[in-house]
Amino acid sequence: MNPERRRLLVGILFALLAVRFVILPWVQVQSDARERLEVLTNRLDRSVGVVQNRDAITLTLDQLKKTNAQERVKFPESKDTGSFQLEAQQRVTATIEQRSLRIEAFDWILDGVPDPSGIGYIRGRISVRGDQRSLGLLLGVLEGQFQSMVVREAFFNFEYPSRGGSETRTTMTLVADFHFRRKAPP
Amino acid sequence: MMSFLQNHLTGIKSRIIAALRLRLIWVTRDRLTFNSDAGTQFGLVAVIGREHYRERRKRYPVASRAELARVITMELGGQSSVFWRIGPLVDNAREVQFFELSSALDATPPRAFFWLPESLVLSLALGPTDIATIRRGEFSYFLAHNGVNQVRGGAIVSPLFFRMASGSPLEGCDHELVEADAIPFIETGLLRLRIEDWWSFRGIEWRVAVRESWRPVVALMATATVLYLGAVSAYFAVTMAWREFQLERLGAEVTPLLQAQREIDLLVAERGSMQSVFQTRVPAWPMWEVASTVWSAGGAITSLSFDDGAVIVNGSAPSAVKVLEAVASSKGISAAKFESGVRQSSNLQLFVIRAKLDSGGAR
Repeated sequence: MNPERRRLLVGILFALLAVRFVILPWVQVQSDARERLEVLTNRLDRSVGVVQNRDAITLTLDQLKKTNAQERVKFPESKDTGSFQLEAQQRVTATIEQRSLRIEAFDWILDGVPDPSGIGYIRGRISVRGDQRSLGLLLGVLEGQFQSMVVREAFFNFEYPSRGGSETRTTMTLVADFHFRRKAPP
Repeated sequence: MMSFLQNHLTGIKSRIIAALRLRLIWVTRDRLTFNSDAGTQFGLVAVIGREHYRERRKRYPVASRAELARVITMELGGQSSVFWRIGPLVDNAREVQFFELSSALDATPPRAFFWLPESLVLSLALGPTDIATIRRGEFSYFLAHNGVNQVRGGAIVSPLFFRMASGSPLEGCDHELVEADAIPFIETGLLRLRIEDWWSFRGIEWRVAVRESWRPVVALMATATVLYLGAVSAYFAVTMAWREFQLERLGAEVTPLLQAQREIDLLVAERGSMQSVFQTRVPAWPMWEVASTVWSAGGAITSLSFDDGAVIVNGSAPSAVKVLEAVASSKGISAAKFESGVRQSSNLQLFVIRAKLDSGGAR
């Protein structure tokens, strides 16, 4: 191999080493710096924005706290879905049993994961047997007691065609969503 | 319209061809472009007249083109005035044509990217049995389609003698190309050149420029890269320092304000979720008002259901239409209709009525 070719190969070797150990790491560092600068710029923009709207932010926060507090009381608070299932089942069962009605089935068929604001729900299917009048009242009582309950389906099946007599034996199947509010961590 | 377009396109094509012909230089006694103008400007291709080079052939028992190219490069020892063309592999050997440029051409080389020997280009335009006689003033030579050529003189004074001397078929077409008669043949030959031939016949100026200029070009590129990266790094450093300074200048109240803004976002989301629950909530208990209406109209109910804000009554009555009329005229009820056809059973009509509760709506 002649000296000129050897010099050329050594030059190419050094060039490749420089690219691998100097240029590429340098470019990577610049890419990281670009991302940090972008984050910093966004933070600065937000900071300038909140300082300029200081009064509006304070006022809005106070108003929202008041209005949300009024709405929150309609949603039972619970630390998690499991606890709320237990609590809701106890309350519904107690309401039904107070009216001497018989629960034939009580299943939780769906858990709605709480959204970022903490509002979640569980969906239950309840089957109750009793006289027509008591079951009709039960539906109204449940809707009144559980303000966050949304009835999705209700089915009344009469033992024989009902002409309005209150004693007709009836089976009610109710599918309802019970909404709750996840308790904020301390 | 079409003829106008065709004329326009033909005009553009002829202008392009004329421009390209200006960049083809024919180096004979004079230097002419293919449009017969004086070819002193920089061209794309210089066709070197046969009078400016000597030609010889040699066979090498080497199959690999790359290996043969290395052998020839070593053999020539860096002579830039010799061009060569490697032929196809025949009987495990390749024939190489060497074109040695005359020293007169070295003194005033044509300025072009490619230097192509005239005999090579013309031979590509000839048929298998053709012989061309090229004549320019006193200079004249014979050429066969395989590139074999002989300057007129000695015993070789006619195409027939050249056919006999070169081993070409005695019968065939003889072309007499005097002066510019050769130009159409050269243009045909240029189009038949292989890609590797173009690379082999790149001009001396180009070869020298690449050999001598790559170092400064590479150095310039490396310097430019480092300067660019340095400038970008400096920009990032200065800009980030300035942003941080601006943030510090805003003071300590920023953090609680940002937290307050985040709290507002969460409260708005919470409010939206709570409101959506109540907006979609349709009380189910009014279904009993529908049932009461059915009973008042003389009907009996087999089943009563609530689904998606609608009440469905399955029952019987002496007149199903009267029941439907009663339900439809009730307050808070809309879109009352028979869900399926009314059927007669002894003295009763069996019906399924569907009605919408106005307090809600479809979810």
